[in-house]
Amino acid sequence: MDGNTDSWSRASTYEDFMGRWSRRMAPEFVAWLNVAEGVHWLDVGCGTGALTEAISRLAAPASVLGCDPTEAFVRHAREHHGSARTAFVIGGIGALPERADGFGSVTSSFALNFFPDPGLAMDELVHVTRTGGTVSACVWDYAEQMQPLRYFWDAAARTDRQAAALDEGRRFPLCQPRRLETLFRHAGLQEIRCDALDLFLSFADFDEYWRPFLGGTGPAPSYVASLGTDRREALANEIAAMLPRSSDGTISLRARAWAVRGGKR
Amino acid sequence: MLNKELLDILVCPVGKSELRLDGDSLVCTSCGARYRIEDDIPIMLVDEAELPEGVQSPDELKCGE
Repeated sequence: MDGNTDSWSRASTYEDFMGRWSRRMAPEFVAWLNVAEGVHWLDVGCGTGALTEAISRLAAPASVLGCDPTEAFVRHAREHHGSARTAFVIGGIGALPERADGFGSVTSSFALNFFPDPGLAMDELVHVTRTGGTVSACVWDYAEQMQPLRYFWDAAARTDRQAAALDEGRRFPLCQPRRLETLFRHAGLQEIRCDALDLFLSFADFDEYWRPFLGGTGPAPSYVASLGTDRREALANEIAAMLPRSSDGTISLRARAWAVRGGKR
Repeated sequence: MLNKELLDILVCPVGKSELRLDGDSLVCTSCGARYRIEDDIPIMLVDEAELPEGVQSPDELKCGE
């Protein structure tokens, strides 16, 4: 993490917040990766296990190992997504498991930007990948088309000048195609590819959009939790006024992730 | 799977040395740090490790040397 006060400890509130989107993105990402069947996968920063589950279900892996330093997330993952070929470990980037012949596919979803030094993290991912294997990651397009968060931080900056510094679009400049490609190139990977993956989200009303922001887990909910009642209400009103609505009141937003991959040669 | 396959690929987070299974724990064969396994989940965090006798803090662990 990057030294701020993001709260990450509660698995169920995280699931209600970003988990609902990362869970939907996971199968899109696995399909985009199109990794051969029968390889050993490592999911670094597996969180509550959305990607681990999608790999296990869709990629016909030999095995999938999910690791994450947040104990509550890994327990949730194991409880909900454990299977014969899936295992989980509580551990950080400095203690990645090492197969004698390397993992065939090492991936990390929605985590790369939270590592204190993404370059060092990439070195670790590449190190545990076998020659001929694939290293991949996906991150939200915080600066532009991750609209649920974009509306949130734009509104937060209007109601609170200090909120701009917390905006994930500013905090995570890595989450742009050129930066991601450069990161992968500097890690020594070949045949690098980066594409946008889009989800289309529909919220029946503002409350459905807003309620998960009140859970306290993750950067935006941590910010909401730091506000008093009046400022929280002002923020909610500001976002409600900005969100696009159709005639029946539903709110339709795009959630874009950047997916990036490279081969170890 | 805290099976042999998983045991074979986990390494000590201090110095990436090999581990051996000892009851409900994984013990580093180099520095002696002991990592609990709870509900089949190995907890490979140095801060959570049980340190060997005579070692007061994780900084004092000598692993992989």
